[in-house]
Amino acid sequence: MNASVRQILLAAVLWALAAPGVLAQPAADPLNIRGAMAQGFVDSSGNAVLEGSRDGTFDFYEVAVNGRVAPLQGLLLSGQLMARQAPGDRDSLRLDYLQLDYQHTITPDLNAGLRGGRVKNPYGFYNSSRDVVFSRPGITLPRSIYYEGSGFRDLLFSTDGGQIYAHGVNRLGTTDFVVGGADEFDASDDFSRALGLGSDAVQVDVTQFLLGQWLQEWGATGRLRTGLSLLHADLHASDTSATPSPFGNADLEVENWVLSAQWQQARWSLTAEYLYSRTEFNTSLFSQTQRSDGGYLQYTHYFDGSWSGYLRYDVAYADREDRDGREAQARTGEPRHTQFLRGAVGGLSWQPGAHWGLYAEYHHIDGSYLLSPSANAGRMPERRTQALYLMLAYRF
Amino acid sequence: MGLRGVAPRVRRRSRPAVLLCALLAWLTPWGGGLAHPVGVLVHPDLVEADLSPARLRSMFTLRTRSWPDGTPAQIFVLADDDEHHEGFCRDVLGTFPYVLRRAWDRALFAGTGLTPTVVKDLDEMRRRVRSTPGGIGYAPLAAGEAAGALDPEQNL
Repeated sequence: MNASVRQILLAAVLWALAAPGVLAQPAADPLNIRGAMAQGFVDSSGNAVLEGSRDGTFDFYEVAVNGRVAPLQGLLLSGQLMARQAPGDRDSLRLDYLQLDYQHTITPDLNAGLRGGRVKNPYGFYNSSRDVVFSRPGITLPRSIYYEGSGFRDLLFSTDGGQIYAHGVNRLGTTDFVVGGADEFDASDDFSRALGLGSDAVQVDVTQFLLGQWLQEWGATGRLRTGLSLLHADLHASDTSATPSPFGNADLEVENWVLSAQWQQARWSLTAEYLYSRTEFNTSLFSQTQRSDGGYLQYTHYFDGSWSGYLRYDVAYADREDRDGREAQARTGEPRHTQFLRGAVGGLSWQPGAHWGLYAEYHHIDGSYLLSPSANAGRMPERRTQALYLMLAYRF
Repeated sequence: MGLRGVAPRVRRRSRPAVLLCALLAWLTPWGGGLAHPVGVLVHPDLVEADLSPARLRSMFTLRTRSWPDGTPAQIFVLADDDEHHEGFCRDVLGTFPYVLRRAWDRALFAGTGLTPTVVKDLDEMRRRVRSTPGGIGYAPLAAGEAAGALDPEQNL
């Protein structure tokens, strides 16, 4: 993070902390400023999960400052500035979201609304608030669903566009629907970073971006939650390097379906999500359809009000017809472990009070699919990776 | 012979049975009920509001931001580890403090809602709910008082 970014964030944080009543009476403030800061450490063996992680690195942090104001009845204006250095994320200050939200209460059991601006994309249980450790299910998100570390996360995270949503209480329980779309946008930086290419090597335009989500809490208590998310994107990629490849121009059509389920009890919760992804590549030379999938199961135990622990098993396959990667190896010569990922994760979290959080997480990963190519540039990927993540976080 | 024949089988099953019972006991929700169950407090203008658990959960998870007349809902809560907060989550909403906390964090960091105001004790809860239009919170029911939308003027 450069000096000016640090100064801006520090000033914002100090102002928020100094502003009278921010902590004591957040809802009553006309402009409600909140945020979170976290400093992490990552050490990995085998492959890098973050640049420099094979030697251990503290270059792993996140800072978010957000504000919201309700200027008129039904309206909510909110925005968040964020700087983050983490697997697959960049080190720069960005406007994370800035959205105007109008919600209308139609009946006591039904409300609906519109959201526009730079909006967060609902996708799975965690995408819309994924970059702050307090609102994730651990230091890391499951790679299989959220592309954590692969560089494609920015396609999911927030987009300039609009959403229509509705929330209702009904005989089934409570139901939430949202559908949204985005303006055409340039995703060149995300792809270049994800593929470990130079910044001018590829031009990628997202020409269509649509998403929808249905979340259902079942029964009177809502302890069973399920979700169905759909993301559809059309992309056009052009090879702008000095020596363009014959596959230089390609049209891609991406369709991701995510099924989510969570069962909540007083002392534990069980969460599972499954992703089915279909991508059609069309170039002047060939057409190909790739079907990948993956999912995870996470058990979280709440020991008391401040301690919790979790176990997660996360699997992802580049080609669901070739789960062991043998066909890809025969076709391309790449090691077959580049086609799959099976990760076992164990973690502990301690949140003593409303402000602090301390987290530790250990990953044992078989396979190198979805591990950051840019963090491992210049070396052959290894089949197995072990990683230790630590994070200290503060929110205000 | 018969008894001796049975006894070893019982012993062989007893260890898994004991372990299973211990696991179930460990996983069973905390049972400790409050001496006085918790009820909902609302601003005096809202005592006629029809508040089902699902409607309350929609409001306390920040997915419903307003009352039916358009007044913004101003939510007051005690700290996550307060016994009355736990009792309110469990007995009134049918859920748990960590579920609300996650919903609030999602709304906070995704910008979709105004997070609740945390008050320091029941006195402040009653005072803030009473003085804030659209205010909603909770407090222990007085002896013999029925659960429902309590008027904080009466619940002192």
